[in-house]
Amino acid sequence: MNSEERDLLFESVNKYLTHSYNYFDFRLDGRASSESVMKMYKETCDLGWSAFLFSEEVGGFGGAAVDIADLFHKFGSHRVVTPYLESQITAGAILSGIGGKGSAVLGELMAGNITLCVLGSSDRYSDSGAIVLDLDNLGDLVCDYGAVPWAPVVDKLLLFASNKGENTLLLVDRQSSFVSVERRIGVDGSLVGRVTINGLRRESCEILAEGSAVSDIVKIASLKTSIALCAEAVGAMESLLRQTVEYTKTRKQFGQPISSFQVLQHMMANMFIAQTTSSEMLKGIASEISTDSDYLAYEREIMLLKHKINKESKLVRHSAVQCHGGIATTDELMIGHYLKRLVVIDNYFGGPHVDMNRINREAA
Amino acid sequence: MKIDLSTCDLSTFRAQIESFVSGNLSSSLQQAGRLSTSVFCDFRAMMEWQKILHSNGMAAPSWPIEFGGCGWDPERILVFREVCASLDAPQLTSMGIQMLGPILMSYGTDAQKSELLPRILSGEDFWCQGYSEPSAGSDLGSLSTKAERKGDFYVVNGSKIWTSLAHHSNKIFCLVRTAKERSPKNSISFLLIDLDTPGVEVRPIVSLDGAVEQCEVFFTDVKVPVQNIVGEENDGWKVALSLLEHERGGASYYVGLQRKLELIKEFSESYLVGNIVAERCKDELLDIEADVLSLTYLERGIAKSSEGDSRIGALSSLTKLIGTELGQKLDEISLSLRGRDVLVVMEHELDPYYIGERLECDKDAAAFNSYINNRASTIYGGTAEIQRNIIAKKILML
Repeated sequence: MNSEERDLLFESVNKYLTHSYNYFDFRLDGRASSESVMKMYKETCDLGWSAFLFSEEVGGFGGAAVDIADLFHKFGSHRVVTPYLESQITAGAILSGIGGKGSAVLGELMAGNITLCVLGSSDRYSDSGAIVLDLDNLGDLVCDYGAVPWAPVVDKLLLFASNKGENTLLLVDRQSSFVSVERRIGVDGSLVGRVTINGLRRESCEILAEGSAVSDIVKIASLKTSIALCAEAVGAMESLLRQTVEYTKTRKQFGQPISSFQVLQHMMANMFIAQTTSSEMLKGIASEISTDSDYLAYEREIMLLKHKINKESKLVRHSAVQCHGGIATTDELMIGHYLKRLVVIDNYFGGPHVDMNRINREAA
Repeated sequence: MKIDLSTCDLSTFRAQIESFVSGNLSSSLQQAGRLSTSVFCDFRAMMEWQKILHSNGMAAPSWPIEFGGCGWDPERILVFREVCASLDAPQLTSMGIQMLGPILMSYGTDAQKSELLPRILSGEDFWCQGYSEPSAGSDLGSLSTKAERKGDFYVVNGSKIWTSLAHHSNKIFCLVRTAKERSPKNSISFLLIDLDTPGVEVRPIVSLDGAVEQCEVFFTDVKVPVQNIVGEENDGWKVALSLLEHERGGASYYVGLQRKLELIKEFSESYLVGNIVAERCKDELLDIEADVLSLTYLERGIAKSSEGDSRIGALSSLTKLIGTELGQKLDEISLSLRGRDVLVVMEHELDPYYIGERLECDKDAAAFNSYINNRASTIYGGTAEIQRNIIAKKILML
């Protein structure tokens, strides 16, 4: 895709998000239904937002890290409720990494006809661990995956398993009898399923890939997901800063706009520092990544980025609430909704402490 | 065939610079770079390195070729700085090459340019900066050192403080008040003064680490020729501030921080194996590594952005603030890694020319002095609070 087409796509993204999207109409902890969210998801896939996230090799027309970052930056600043991350990025990255048997499903995914999510370890604090099983002797395998975003509405589940010590990717129908999904609402307005697998049957799983390549495929998917999450966080931080600056210029106390108080000015200067350093780090790293192997080469940088953004997003969201005063703690204002989403982003992949440990351990 | 450093590709450029720097740095010079405890390293070593650079035409990479610089683009300047830092080359002082040079290029007369610029490069002139005064620190605009026009001379009375390395300098560039108006915008001039003029007295200030970097400079009826003014009379405020807005290549705090981080890691991983403090510091170092990496991308981005970016001046506040605060955090970590050894006053251990035995515990000998000296880094050049004010006003428009 050339830069002109890219500009056109982003014009359409901006237009759609500014005119047709409003968080309060789509949050599932409000009046919206998951059908309306899925309808929007399908519409935006048709607009080309999905194909844009994939490389030409697999039939897309984008897929560089900056493409992912730019789209999710918009999602972040508009607080978009969508299964794009889980389905298009995480599952999409795995399917495009597999090639071969994954291609048919990938085609459907990119067309927006189906949605998927990935189930890795049942450990709440881990992402790359696989569920351990023996496909020839499944017995009464029970696995409680805990909270899985969008699980209640996805069509397929991608299971990352360790089959007799060998990494394997399995595809199963979400509606299989051995999959139970307890439908819950997410604190960030999303839809969440508490997923349990009980009595998995060999004939119900399609083996999409196995062998040594699988762990790299999964790792690349988690690194892509991290870039998307970081970009979403940066977008949210930007909106928080902008709204805070605007608010403090209009809110008057002691006869003057509260933006004239030096304490608040310094708080907002710190928000700016946090947001700018995060954003520049994201842009810098993303611009150096175009192929899947680049993701592996930049593993350490991406992990440091996620750590940095978790740290800075905390400063930004807490300062935004503090500068707004009590009104920020109400459901009416967007401030608190950005805050909730940023907490969820923090804890994606197990949370800040896990991130730190992972850099020490894996990317040393 | 000789490689043209201005046009060759960046990796060739890096390799060339690496081979030049490593081929010309003596071990004493490297010691001086590594043992540096503030922005100023050992004076003798610094001047020795400047001479070597100058004789190879590299004393001022960011200056245009016509003035004896290299005329490199911002990317090359950063690579040059990265290589110098990674090999522990002494850092040249900023007063002449970084600060006065560009000011003269923009505002100086032809005579000033042709006489003074070559002497900055060669080290014949060593300049110090006379901005702060005892009652004008953060509020620089309230400075009161007076320069009264009397015929062909200005007569200067007053004093300057925190004048870095004045005791090594032969010249000083000063902001002086040449009119009575209260607004600094039309009452201050930028004046060049020889320190050996009668009536000038330099008194060193001993710092907490026992060394002298700072001085006070007193002026009593000092006669300065009128042609020593830079820019128009009463227009010195603009001259002084323009530096920030026109400085190409931008700041590069990340360069020094990356090296400092590397050295601390090396120290803790090779010398403190299994040590409980070193283990606990691992996460803190990672946290700072992420910050340094983000500053790296930020500063590279600023260097590449167009000169016309009106926020450049304010963005330099941003990098100054982040760079100095991160440096202080690193100092705190290296302090805690030294444990009880922090107790010893370091003397010959910090002398780059010292020949003799160095003990195992002399590794990272600069930690304590660096820690105390860098407390000043968030005070000089505009305090951290002033920088936050600038971000709030110039960028967030508060």
